[in-house]
Amino acid sequence: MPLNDRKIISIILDERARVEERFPGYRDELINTISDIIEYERQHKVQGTTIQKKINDKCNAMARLLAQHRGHDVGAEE
Amino acid sequence: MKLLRAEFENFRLLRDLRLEFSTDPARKLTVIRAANESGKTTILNALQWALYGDAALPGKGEEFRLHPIDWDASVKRRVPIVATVEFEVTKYRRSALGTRETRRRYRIVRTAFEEVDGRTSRRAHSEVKLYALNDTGVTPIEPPEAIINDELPPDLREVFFTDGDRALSFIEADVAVSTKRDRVQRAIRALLGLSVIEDAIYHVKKSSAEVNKQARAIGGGSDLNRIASRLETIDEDIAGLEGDLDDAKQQFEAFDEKVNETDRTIAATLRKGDKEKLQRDLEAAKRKIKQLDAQLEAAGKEHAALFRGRALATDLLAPVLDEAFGKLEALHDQGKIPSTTIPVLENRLSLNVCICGETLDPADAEGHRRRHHIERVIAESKRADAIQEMITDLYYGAKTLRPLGANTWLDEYKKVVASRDGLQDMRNDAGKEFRALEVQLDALPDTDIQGLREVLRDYKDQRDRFLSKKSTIQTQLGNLQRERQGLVQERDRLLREQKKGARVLAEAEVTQDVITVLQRAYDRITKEELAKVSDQMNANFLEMIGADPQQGAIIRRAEISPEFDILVYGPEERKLNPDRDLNGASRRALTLAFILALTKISEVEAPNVIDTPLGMTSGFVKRSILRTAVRESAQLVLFLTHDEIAGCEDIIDQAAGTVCTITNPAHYPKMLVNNPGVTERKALRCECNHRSECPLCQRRSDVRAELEMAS
Repeated sequence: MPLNDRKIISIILDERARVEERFPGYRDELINTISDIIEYERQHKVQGTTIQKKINDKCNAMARLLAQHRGHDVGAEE
Repeated sequence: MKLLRAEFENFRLLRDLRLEFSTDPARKLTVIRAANESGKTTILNALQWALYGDAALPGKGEEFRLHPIDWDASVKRRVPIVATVEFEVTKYRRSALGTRETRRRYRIVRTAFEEVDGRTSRRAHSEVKLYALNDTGVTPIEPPEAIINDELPPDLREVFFTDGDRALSFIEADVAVSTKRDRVQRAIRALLGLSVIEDAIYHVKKSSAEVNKQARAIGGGSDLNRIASRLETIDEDIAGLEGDLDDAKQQFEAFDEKVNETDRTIAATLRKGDKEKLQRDLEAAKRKIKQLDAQLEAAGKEHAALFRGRALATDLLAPVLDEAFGKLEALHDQGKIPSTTIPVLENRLSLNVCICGETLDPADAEGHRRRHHIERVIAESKRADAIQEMITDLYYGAKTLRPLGANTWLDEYKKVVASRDGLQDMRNDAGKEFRALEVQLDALPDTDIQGLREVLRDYKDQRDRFLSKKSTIQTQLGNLQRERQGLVQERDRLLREQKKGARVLAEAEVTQDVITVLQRAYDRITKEELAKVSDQMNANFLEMIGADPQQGAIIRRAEISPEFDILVYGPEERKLNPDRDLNGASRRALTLAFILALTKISEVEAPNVIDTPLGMTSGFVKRSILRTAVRESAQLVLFLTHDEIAGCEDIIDQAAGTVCTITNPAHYPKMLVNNPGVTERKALRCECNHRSECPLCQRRSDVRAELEMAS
């Protein structure tokens, strides 16, 4: 785990209020996504993971959630 | 991360040593008491070797012996060297229930072998293993560096493991400003997590670019396709320009530093003396000396001429001449000079008329009588003629020898001597000036000021060029970003209109939101957290050195500039140079203040292991550094000498959870009272704390040792 994730996460949490609440709970989900991305970067620094794919997938999953909340048939578009 | 315990085997003086570290949050200080040459620095090196390997050893381990120096190779040539460190890691994870904290324990074991052959040895590559410690036993972790590099990045080794005597790398004089700046920046960036956020932004931007490609694919030949294509180009251009901007910034800073360095070199050289000016002065002094020498030669001739002139003779002979002239005047008064009577009288006789008009006619009786008298005077005159002639010549000829006034020659002499002495003084001064210039020139370093000025001009030109380039790129970036913003809005609007665009739009929005949050967090950390580290460092530093700006202290404040320079200010905001203007204790305090501030503000749970932090300090500053370090650290491990402890016992009483003493048996009998009974050189540990001693660690006080030596 990172040296100071608690600090970074606390700052990121402070910034969530500035993001549009695209659906109820969007901000919390987004912060969890960012938290995971930071964790991926930490892992990548020491283990050399497939970071780009993991981040693409993470953003993709969040986008799918957003699209679902907007009532789009996500599966049909993929 | 917290250190739990460490164990060393055959690591130089540490043949078999086990240490425990305090993990009690209320008593977070561990004190390892050891006199000089008892293994304090060796323990610091051994801990770092265990965690980071050979790279952490002095000289990166090149030619650094690990095995004990008195190892008996005749018994065993292959020496196993082992360093084991157990540590605990606290993990924080965001979950639906908030931030969750978990603790894990690890053991890292680093092993190396050295083949000892006489005075030489060869080290086999060291091996490292990491184990997770759990209730059921131990589990190997691969690769071990994954945990260590994450918890204690090698970049930050100097922050966590500090040699007090060398704890100056962030402010030391003998490295370039950029190096110090880079060290400070790297430490801050790593501890505040800036590099991780930067990497995350980079990768999410790439995800965003992928999303744009999808938008272009949906758009076909439409406006959406055109806009997405343009966005792609803009993103590529922005990435390229950002790289160029970084490069221009670095180049600008590099040339700016070169300009400052060259400026300083020129100023320092000119302070010692301008070589060219000195050479010009030397030439002028040479010419002056030549001129004065010529004048002195002329004065010498004038002086010599004085002794050859008539004036000297007349002045010297004045008493004799006066007497002679007196006598000649008397003769003159007597009518013996001039001897012109005879021709006049003979002429009168021939004319038969006396000068007085009476007759000299021989026929006349009176004339005859007068004539007879005159003929007798002529006869007498002729008898004295030879002497008279000489005296007459002398009378008239010596008139030129008469002095014109009193002391004429002496006056002239005084004038000439005064002039010559004045010239000689000037010549002496000119000679001294010439020599002084020669000495100054000899003392000057062989620096070509003119050359340096040309180099400076060149550096300034280059700096200005990159400043201009930086400005141009910033303008281009601003324009592209504005265009991008408009195009993104337009693209998103078009995506909303597309049946298949909803998902792509969602991805675009998500990636943009992630970038926004990360960028804002990054900006906040850069600005606010750096300012907090700076403020905390200032508070630590002023407290450590006992400086009260309200009470007129010379050191008013310290700060970390936005350029990552550690600066110290005196009265009226005058910048002080930490290298030159601070004493040893203050420099040590400043470095420790920075390290402690950084670990505190970053909220990193990491140990601060410091060897001899209180060296060069005493009294208030010593106690204050210790108090501040205890308060600001998450875990503090100090290696202290007996002298460093003296006067701080009460602070250690309150703060220390663990204290032990390390003794070097080689100090017997000079420094140790009792024979430890160990023949080999090795660090021996006892449980004595900072106030106690046992037969193993009991040391002779200086006074007792001196008395015994005297007897």
